Formats: sequence, C-alpha cells, structure tokens
Amino acid sequence: MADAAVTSRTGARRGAPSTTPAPRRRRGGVLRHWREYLAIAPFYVLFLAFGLVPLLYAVQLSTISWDGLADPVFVGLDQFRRVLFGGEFGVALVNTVVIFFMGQVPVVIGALVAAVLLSRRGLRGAGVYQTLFFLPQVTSVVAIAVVFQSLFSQSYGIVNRLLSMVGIGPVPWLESAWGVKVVIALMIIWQTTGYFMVIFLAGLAAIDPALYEAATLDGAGGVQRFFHITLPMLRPTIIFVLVTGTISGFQLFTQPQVLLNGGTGPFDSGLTMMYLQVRYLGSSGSGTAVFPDLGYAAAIGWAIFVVLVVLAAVNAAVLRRNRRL
Amino acid sequence: MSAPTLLAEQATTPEHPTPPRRRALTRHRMGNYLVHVPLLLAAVLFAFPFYWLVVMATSSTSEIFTSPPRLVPGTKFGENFAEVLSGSPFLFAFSNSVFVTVVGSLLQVFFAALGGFVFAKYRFPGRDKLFGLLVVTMALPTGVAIVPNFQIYANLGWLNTYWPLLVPGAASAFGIFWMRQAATASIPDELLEAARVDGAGFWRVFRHVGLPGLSSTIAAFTVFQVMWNWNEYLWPLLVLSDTDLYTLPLALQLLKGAYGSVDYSVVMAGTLVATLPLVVLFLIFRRTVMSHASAGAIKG
Repeated sequence: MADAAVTSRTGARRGAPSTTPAPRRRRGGVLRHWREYLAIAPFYVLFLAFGLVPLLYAVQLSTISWDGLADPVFVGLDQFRRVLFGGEFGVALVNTVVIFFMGQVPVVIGALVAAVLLSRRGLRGAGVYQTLFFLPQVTSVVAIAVVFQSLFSQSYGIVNRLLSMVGIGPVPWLESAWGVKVVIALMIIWQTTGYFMVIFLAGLAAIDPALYEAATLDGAGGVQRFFHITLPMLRPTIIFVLVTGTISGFQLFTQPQVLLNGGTGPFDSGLTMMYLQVRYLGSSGSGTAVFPDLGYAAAIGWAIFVVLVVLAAVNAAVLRRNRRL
Repeated sequence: MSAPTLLAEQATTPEHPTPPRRRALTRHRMGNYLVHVPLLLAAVLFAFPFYWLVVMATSSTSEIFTSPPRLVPGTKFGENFAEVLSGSPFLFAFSNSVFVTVVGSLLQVFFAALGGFVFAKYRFPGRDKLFGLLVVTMALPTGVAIVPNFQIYANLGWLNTYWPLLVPGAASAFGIFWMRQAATASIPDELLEAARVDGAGFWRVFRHVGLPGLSSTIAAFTVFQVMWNWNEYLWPLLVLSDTDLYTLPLALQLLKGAYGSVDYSVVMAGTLVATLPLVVLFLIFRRTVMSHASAGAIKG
C-alpha cells in the first residue's frame, strides 16, 4: 500500500493513476518528475556544500599550517605528526575516555533502571516522574553549567555547605583535576538520563507481556525476569543507545568549555578532543590562550574521525561476539 | 505513556485466580509502593538544580550565602533581572534567539515535511538510491567538518551573520527520514488519489493531504527543533563576535563572565528567564514530545 505510486499532475489529468511510466518513456519520466526532485533537492545541495566539500577541504587544510590571517605554509604530514607525538591529543583522548566512562555509562544504566521501574503495571505517578526526568533535556548546557558551577563552588556552593554540616571539609570540585571530571560527568548524567530513559520505555513497551506472565508462572523472580527477558528483548534498543551515546560522548565539547569558562581546568583535566580542536580554530568566541593553527585543528578533526571509526568497529565486533549480551 | 499498554493483561486475572498468580500480584502491588523510594529520591535530585535556580534567581547574593543555607525562594527577582537588563544585551539576545529559532525551525520543518512526504508517497527514478544516500549521511561524524565549515563560512562572508545558523541545517537528513516514516505509516494513498481526481496539483496535494496527515509528527519535530535551535551553542560561539548579534546561550556566557564572581544571583535570574520558555513549551507539548521521543532519538 505504501508503495503505490502517485503520478504527478499531468498523469492525473489523463486519468492514469498509480502506473509507473513504461521504460521507453524513461527520459521524459525524469523530467516529468521535476517537482519531486525539486522538493528533495535542498537536502542534497546543502549536503554537498556543507557536508561533502568540507571533507575534501579538510584534507587540504590538514597539510598546511595557518593562523587564518597570514599566508598558509605547506607542511606535508607535520600536523598529523603533531597530533600523534605532540602529547596534547593524547591528554585530550584520555580525558574524553575517562569522562565518557564517568558520565555516559551511569546514564545508560540509570536510564535503563528508571525505565524498568516506570514501566511497572499500575505504578502511580509514572507520567510525572517521566516528565521530571526528561525536563533537563530541554535546558541549554550553558544554563546547566551556570547552575552546576554554583552548586559545586568551593566556598559557597550548596553541595560543600551541606557536606560541611556532616563534617566533610570543603571539596575542591572545580579546582582539582578529578573534581572537574566529576562535575562534567554529573552534568551529562543530569541532562541526558531522561532522554535515554524515554527510548528504553519505548523499547520496553514493545515487549510482549505474556513473556513475563509465563516466566512468573514458572516461578522466576524479578531479577531473573530482568536478565532473561528484559535485557535480551531490549537488545536493539541497547545497541542504539550504545552507538548514539558513544558518538555524542566522544564529541563532548560544550559542557567542559562552558563549565571551565573557556579554560581547560586544572592539569587540562577538562580538555576533550573536540574542545582541543575548537581551541586551535582560534575564532572570536573561543577565548583561547593557544596560537591558532587551522591546519592542526583540521588534523585533530581527522584524528577524532579515526577514533570514532575504530569505536564503531569495536562496537560491532563486541556485539557480534556477544549475541546474548 | 507506555505503561498503560501493559494494563490490559490484568483483566484476565479474575477468570483463573490461581494461587501463585495471586501471590505474585500482591507482591507486585507491594513492589509498586517500594519502587517509589528510589524514584522519589531520583526525582528530588533531578528537580533540585531547577529549584536551586529559582531560589538563587529570586534572592540577593547575601541572602544565599547565609549559614545554614536558605533553601526557599526569595523576593529579589525584580532587582536581579533589572541588573541583567542593564548589564548585558539580554533583550537583544532574547529577540535574536527567538528570530533564529523561529526562522530556523520553520525552514527545517518545511523541508523535512516536504522531503519526507515526497519520499514516502511519490515514485520517481532513483528514489530509493537517493534515500539510501540520505540515510548514510546520518552516520557521518560531524566533528571532522568544523574547521573547513568555519573556513567556508568565512569565505562566503557569513561570519557575524545568522546564515551559518540557518542555511546548512535547513534540510536535515534526520528530519526527512522521520517524516518519511510518519507519512508512510499515517497517510493512506486513497487520500492522495482522491485529491488528484479532484484536480489538485503537486503543491495542493502536499498542503491539503501531506501537511494535515503529518500534523502530530510536525508538532513533535517542531518542538525538538525549537529545543535544539534555542540551545545551540557551538556555531553561534564560533561565528558570532558582535555582542548585539549574540543568542541567549552566548549572552548568558557573557553575563557569567561579567557577574560570575560578583553577583551570581544576576546570572541566575538571566538563566531562569532564558530557560523558562522551553520548559513551558515542553510542558504544553509533553505528550506529543514523549510519544515521539524514541523516533527523535535517532538524532543522537
């Protein structure tokens, strides 16, 4: 039914509905469909201009050294050498991975647990909980950073003042290398858990309730039902969440940039790969203290690209080996 | 929204009241009270940053820094917000954000609905190959294109304008993909045939059959786009340097830089006003957004 074709106006006037043009009329057919092509053209034009051309441009950019003003200098593969051996990218990669495990992993587990609890039969207030957990998703990262900076400020932050009431001394959340990572991870957890929760809820709703009923009659407890029915049935949803969570987690930029006011935190502990790239772009708002080099920034972009491709391959391999999760 | 679907199963219970089942059900009801413990705890933790935002935005700085901390909203919002207005281009930023969000979302929704409708309901040479290409582009990581895109905008003379925020994302693969799914599922071909028999042309078919048939998806997609446009940070940060052109996230950063160490209540008042429109929008369209969120999730 979905595939039944609708011919354009000329076809309709002749009263010839739903028939594909005969092969010999093919050339005329393409022209006859100009409205359809025009309707979908914007995407392809924009993708060509701002998706494909930039990729080619990025190849060229990564072979030069250029601050954006003076004449660019051709440096061959030096920018890639700088990425590999300059040290900075390694620091940024490690930071990204550590923050990923501190933030994204609890997000997935928390979202799954929340979704399982909220999909219980006859639970009152489920809609209110869902709304509340999803709400942080609509706030901007800048607003979240403003609030979290205040919550975790060393001397006046409410978190430290509450901790001092139970005798724990002021914790240097934003002044220590690990503290910065904890706060960034908490921002990610707070903002994105509700989003993944809703995805899990949709996945859970698609599981046949009869499966649970049968398992209960066989004497399976809640934990057993979770591991033997819920998890296997949720496999497609879990794969989707892992893939999208990895891609966004490894392109983390806004949270550290805003939380650290354009700096990189103690011992560069908030410097992620994307953040490193944007710093070397040296544009107006980035407030960087580094000497801009567009070529180096482009090479960092390729390095991020490679990391994501490797991760995708690892993901695929792990999932293939572990079919039962 | 998904929980009620599981309710139907309970109806069968009275017919076969087998003992293990009844015990299980009783346990289930007790469990329903128990799960409120972790859920309420999480709810408090999730709500607290919002609550704290309100408390700080309505208090003076000296009121907040008392010990023990005062945890109730105050009455100083007016003063704080007056300071926001005099100390930053906040009103400019608010109207700039409204402009970018409205124009950007309209373009995105229009091209997504049109493209999705055509892919779902028309047959033309190369259609499936073109759609396959569109799907593939969704998997490309965007990070590698930041530097060249910035340079392209610079060459086009687009720095310090809104073009980079409006044009490149105007027709998104994700939006077209989503609308195509919706059009395939919810617009019957008979409607299109009827419209064509009545002599409606391409454009009128889209307006009178396509748009109404996609209305709930359009509503949900609009809310998502408004959310993303309103909160967009990276590209405004990179391309806008004139503070009069700043959107709200940038103006908040500016405000934070100027008042962050002096008067945090002012920063909070600005943040509250910048956040409120989307919270209200989301609460109004809560049901539509939540029921479409799993489709929207594809964006990642």
